[in-house]
This record gives sequence, C-alpha cells and structure tokens, in this order.
Amino acid sequence: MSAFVRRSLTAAEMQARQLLRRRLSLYILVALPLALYLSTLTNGEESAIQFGALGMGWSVASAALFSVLAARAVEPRLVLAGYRPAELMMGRFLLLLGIGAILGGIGAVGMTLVSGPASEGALLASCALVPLVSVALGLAVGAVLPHDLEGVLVIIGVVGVQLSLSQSSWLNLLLPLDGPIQLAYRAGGLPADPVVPMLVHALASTVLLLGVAAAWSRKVRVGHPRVRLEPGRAAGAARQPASIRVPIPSWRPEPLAVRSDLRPSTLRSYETRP
Amino acid sequence: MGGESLPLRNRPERWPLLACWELPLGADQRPADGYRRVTEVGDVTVGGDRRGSGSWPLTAPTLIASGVVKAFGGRRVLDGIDLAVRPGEVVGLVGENGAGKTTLLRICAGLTAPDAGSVQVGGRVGYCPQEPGLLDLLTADEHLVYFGAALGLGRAASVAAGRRVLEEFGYPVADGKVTRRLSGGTRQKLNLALALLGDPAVLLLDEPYQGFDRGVYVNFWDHVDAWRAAGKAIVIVTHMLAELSRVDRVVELAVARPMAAGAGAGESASAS
Repeated sequence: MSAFVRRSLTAAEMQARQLLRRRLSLYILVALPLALYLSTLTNGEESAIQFGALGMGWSVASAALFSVLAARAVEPRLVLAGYRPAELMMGRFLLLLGIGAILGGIGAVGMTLVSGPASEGALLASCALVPLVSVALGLAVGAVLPHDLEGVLVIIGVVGVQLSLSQSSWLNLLLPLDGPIQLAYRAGGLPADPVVPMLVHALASTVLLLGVAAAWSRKVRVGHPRVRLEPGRAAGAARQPASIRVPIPSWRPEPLAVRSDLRPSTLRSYETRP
Repeated sequence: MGGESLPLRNRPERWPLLACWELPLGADQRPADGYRRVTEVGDVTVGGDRRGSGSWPLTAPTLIASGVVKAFGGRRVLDGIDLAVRPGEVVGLVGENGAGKTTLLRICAGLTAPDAGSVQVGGRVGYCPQEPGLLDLLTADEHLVYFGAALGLGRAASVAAGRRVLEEFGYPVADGKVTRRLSGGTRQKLNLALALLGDPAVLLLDEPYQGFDRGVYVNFWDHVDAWRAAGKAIVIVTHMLAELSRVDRVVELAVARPMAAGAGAGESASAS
C-alpha cells in the first residue's frame, strides 16, 4: 500500500471516528431526507421522490461542509506533520462517499418499496449521484467559505433554488444537483431530460466542484516559496554546517531604523547566561 | 530610562539592566550582573560559556529567518526580522501582546507566508500552538496515531512515543476520553506531545505551558534542558519572565507604536 493511500485511509478513519461519536448528527443526517420524503408523499409519489433526493443532497452536502470546517484549525498542523493536503482531502472524500452510499442505499430501497417508481434504474442512478455531487458541493463550499453560517446558507440556497425552479428552466443547468434531480423526476414518472446528458451534467459538476475544493485546499499547504522546510533532514544531520544552504544572515547595520510615523517591531537580543 | 533618546548603537549595554529590572529573579538564579549581551540576532559572533557545556555550539543554525516582513491591514507587524537558532540552543521570544511573536513563529513553521524575507529550516519542525489545535472528538491515542501516520510511524510506535511524553508530563493515558472532555492543561500536554512526535530538529513552542499546574510547569523547563541537550533548536514564546534565565538567549519583539514627538532618526523610544 502506498504512503498516499495509507495516509488517506488514516485520515478517513479518524474522520469517521469523529462522525460516529456525533450520534445526534448521524440521526439527523438520515431523518432529514426521510422527513422531506414522507411529508411530500401526500402530494404524489413523483414529487416525494424528488424531495427525498434533494433531502439526501442537503444532508450529505452539510456533512461535507462541516467536516471541512471542523478540521480547518487542525489541518495546517497535520500538513506540517507530513500529510499532503490531497491526502487529507482524499480521506474526507472517501469517508463522505461511504456515508453518501449508505444514505443513497437506504433511500433507494425505501423509495422503491414505498413509492414503486416508474423507473427503478433512474431512481437508483439518482440515489447514487445525489450523494456524489453533494459531497463535492459540500467540500467546495467548505473550502471557499471560511465560516459555517455562510456555508450553510449557500447550501440551503443552492438546494432551495433547485426546488423552486420550474423543471423546464434553463437555469437548472447551472445548479450542480440538476442531473440527479432530473433522474429523480424520471424515476417518479415525470417527463425529464434524456439520461446521458443528465449523467454528464452530474459528473461534470462533481469534477468541477472537486477541482474548486482541491484548489482551495492548497491554502493549507505548509511552506511557501520564502519558507523552505527540509523535512527529510534528520536532526543529527542538521547539526552539520554544510546542511544549511544559505549563509548566516549578515549583520544589519541599522536593524532598528526609525520610521517617521510608526515604529516597526524590532528585535533585541541578549544572552541570559554568563 | 523613560524619555531617554540615546542612539541605539550606544545603548545595547543597557538591555541587560533592563532585563534585570524586568525579571523577578529567584534566589537560585543568577544575579543581575550575570546578564551579558553578546549578540544581536543575525550576528554570528559567538563566545562565552554556557551552562558548563564549554562554549556556544559553533555549528550553523538549524533555523534562519532573514529579513522577515509581515503586515496586517496596513500595519507592519514584523519589519525585517532576522533570527538564527542553532542546534542545542533555546531562544526565548518575548514581547507585548500584538508584537508579532506568534506571527513570527507561524512564519518560521511555514504556516503563514511572510510578505518579504525568507526562512530556512534544516530539519523537521515541531510546532506547538498557543491554542491546542486538536480534534474534539478524538482521544489522545487517536491523535497520536493520526499525527504519527504523517511521519510514517505505525500505530503502536506513535502511541508509545506520544504516551511516553504524556506520562512524563503527568498524563498517563488510560481513560480513553475524547479531548473535548479533557482539562485545558491536559489538552495542552497532548498538544506538546504531538509537536514532539518524530523527534523534530526544530521546536517552535508558543506558550506551551498554558494550563499546566506548578509541578508540571517546572518539569516542563527541565524537559527544555533535555531537548537542548539532544541538540534541538528551540524557540519558546513566553510571558513567564521568571523562567527566562533558563533559556540561552532572549529575543524581544517590541510592539509597533507611534513615534514620540521630537524623537529623531537613530533613536529608540521602545527601551523605556
């Protein structure tokens, strides 16, 4: 097993352990789509499937968002310790995909048994793609937005707009969950777009959102062009003068130069031992 | 000293006196005249005995920060800071709140990018932040495994190495509590143990003893001596001036403040 895979799996395991200890969150993750589905059953099977799928998207995207935000303070330390940001992100992605698969499985079985969908294949595809796109959505929102309130509002907004738009509106194409939701329409027996473009839309949205998340996750990279860390160098080796690439900084003739308006931070140094 | 405006270059000999005035020395600590200025940051002049070890280590620094500049919101917090720390040297970084101590440490760790200047670190960095950067719902052992995996350590090795440190600091890990349920001092001990995992060459410790009780606090400084003896380059941000006698060099960051009226170039207003 490569180091990348091993570290990604460790990251996934630790994030899973945290999530499993948040039992109430787990219950709500399942209860939200279930509540949306059951509450709309009286309006007809077709809309219930659509709401159930959107509820699943809401749950998974929120879980992804909070997994990013909860780790934000610690991740730079993990990267400093030796993780690559991509390993942490992969670990999170794997975990959330697992959660999404479980939710999607429960949803697919439950809705098949209760609603008797017009197209079981479309329902299955929808229940597989909604979590996939939602994980990517949550990761992207969590990466771009620094605070939970903003992130939650954006996810509510994206899913809410998806709910409120008419099925024929071209604006649907701009929303990441359009592909899986169209599949949910088809599963409910409603007229919907052709299957292949929906699949392409879902996969393209996933790739785009994961790209955004990956690009932003580079912000937790430790070390900058001006900060050269040499993690491969052992402590013993570091004691050798030859291990230092640059000369010792030269004496600064006027280190405490006075500014006209503001005195910058300055260093004074003195030995405390005779 | 307040109100004086001697040219800085003529003043360095005053810093030891200033230190003496600031430091409440205990009976077992060196008298005021024991303080002797030997170098400014960036100056490679060496000399003088240190702790009976013979001499300053004549090796090249493991950590070199050169001309580090950092501004926040138009206010320049760090302006051309040079800092060099050698293996087996302990530097105490002191200064008022807002002087840029944590910023400088984060820049040295690579966690914050400087606006200008450079940092060279010859080895792995162990960084202990002021606020424990821990995951609330993981246990101490799980933290050790998580961080140890980054270093290529196996589970058992990570846990053994981390527990050894934790036990030395008075936290024998046997309760399996998640860190959210630990006291502040215990969380900080775990924070420190994570920084020490993998035997880093450079230790950057930002007030690492927050929440330690008295016994553990004293014990901490004994550990600093041991880390020094092991050849680590150590920077400790501290407000505990009473313990500054236990570091090799004190580096003070003076907070940016408006110039006193009438003060001219080459004068220092921050000494008072």
